[in-house]
Amino acid sequence: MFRLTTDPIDPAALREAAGNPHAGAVSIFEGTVRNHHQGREVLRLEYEAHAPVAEKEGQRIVRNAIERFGLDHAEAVHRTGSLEIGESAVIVAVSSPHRSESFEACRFIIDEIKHRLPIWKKEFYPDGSSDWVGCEGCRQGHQH
Amino acid sequence: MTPPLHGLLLAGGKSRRMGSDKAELVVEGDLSLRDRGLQLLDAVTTETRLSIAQDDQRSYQSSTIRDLRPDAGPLAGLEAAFQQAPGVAWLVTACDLPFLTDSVLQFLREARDPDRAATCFTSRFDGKPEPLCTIYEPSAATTLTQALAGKMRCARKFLYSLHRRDLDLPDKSALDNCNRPEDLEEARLTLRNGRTTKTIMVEYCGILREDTGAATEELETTAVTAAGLWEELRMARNLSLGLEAVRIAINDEFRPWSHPLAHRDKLTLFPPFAGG
Repeated sequence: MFRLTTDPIDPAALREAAGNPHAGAVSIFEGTVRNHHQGREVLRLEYEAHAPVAEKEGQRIVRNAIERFGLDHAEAVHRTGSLEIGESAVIVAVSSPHRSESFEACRFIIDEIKHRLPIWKKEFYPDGSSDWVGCEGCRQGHQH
Repeated sequence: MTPPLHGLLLAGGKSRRMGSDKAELVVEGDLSLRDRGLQLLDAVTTETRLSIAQDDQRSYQSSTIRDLRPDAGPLAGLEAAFQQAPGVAWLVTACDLPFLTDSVLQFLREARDPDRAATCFTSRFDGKPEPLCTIYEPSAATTLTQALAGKMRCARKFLYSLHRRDLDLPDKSALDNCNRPEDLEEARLTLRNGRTTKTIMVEYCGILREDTGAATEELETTAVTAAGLWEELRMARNLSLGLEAVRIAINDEFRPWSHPLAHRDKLTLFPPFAGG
């Protein structure tokens, strides 16, 4: 399953839920907030999600991964709101009978989350300014 | 004496966003946008010319005026026309105006003020003068030469610089144009089904919410598809992204821009995703 949360994500709970007697592999991916982006120092991040669409689409991604890789278990959680450096923004936990499917599925889920979910990230810089990530090059040059 | 009025149909554009030559497209009926545009101008002017790009190698049945320079947009077409026929005023139109009618052009011709450099309509979107359905008097020729020498390429900016007579459109959608396949679909559906007013709840996310200063708004529109409504919002709300960068959901399901809008639909506008 997939869910959004404003609370810190607990990796131990996700690891616990992924455990399964049928599984020979558990993979966990944690995406964490780093203190730099494109050479610029970053102080903190704010994540915003469109919950109805992100949750629906997130469920599709996880279900899709379970079928595609024959997983025993898959779960992904994405944070929203204000995050400090080092906090986990997203955690993916999967288990499967063998290791290769669990690695691949973990990567598949995080890549699909990045591409398909309506989630946005705003970076805050030491000089007091901020920017929406991914929108820097989209500003229209030709304004009247 | 009032200078004679000739028609100039601009067909030298590159149609980059459409992906194929706009002038060749048929939106409704049998005529291509080019033939339709020429027919409209023929009805209100004494002579009509087709304005083509400098490197256009095709042959045309109608008389053409070739641009004198490459890549200078609509202003190059007007420059070539003034050069070929000094002392003539030009009613310039673009070929991508499927809602333009002869009555709108007649209205423009009757409202013409030859003592000003241009007579034009104002945009229904932002109230600013529209350069591509405009009468340019011979007195605009010198300003044009200077503008082009100063590297100006924007027809709107050129029109702003002229002494004008600005008119309200008698039919407010007459100058809605088609730049992308989505706009074409909007035009076809509108011409086929007519315009009905519907209430749409628009939801803005991320940078777009910051642009508008509101997360949601309810508005009335006659747009048929989501692309049509975007065209209305883009300028009215001064949105910082282009259609290409934005994805949409209608009633919380991802949809293409050409998706039709129904009364009381919710349209959500998504900036580029940056999760993870």
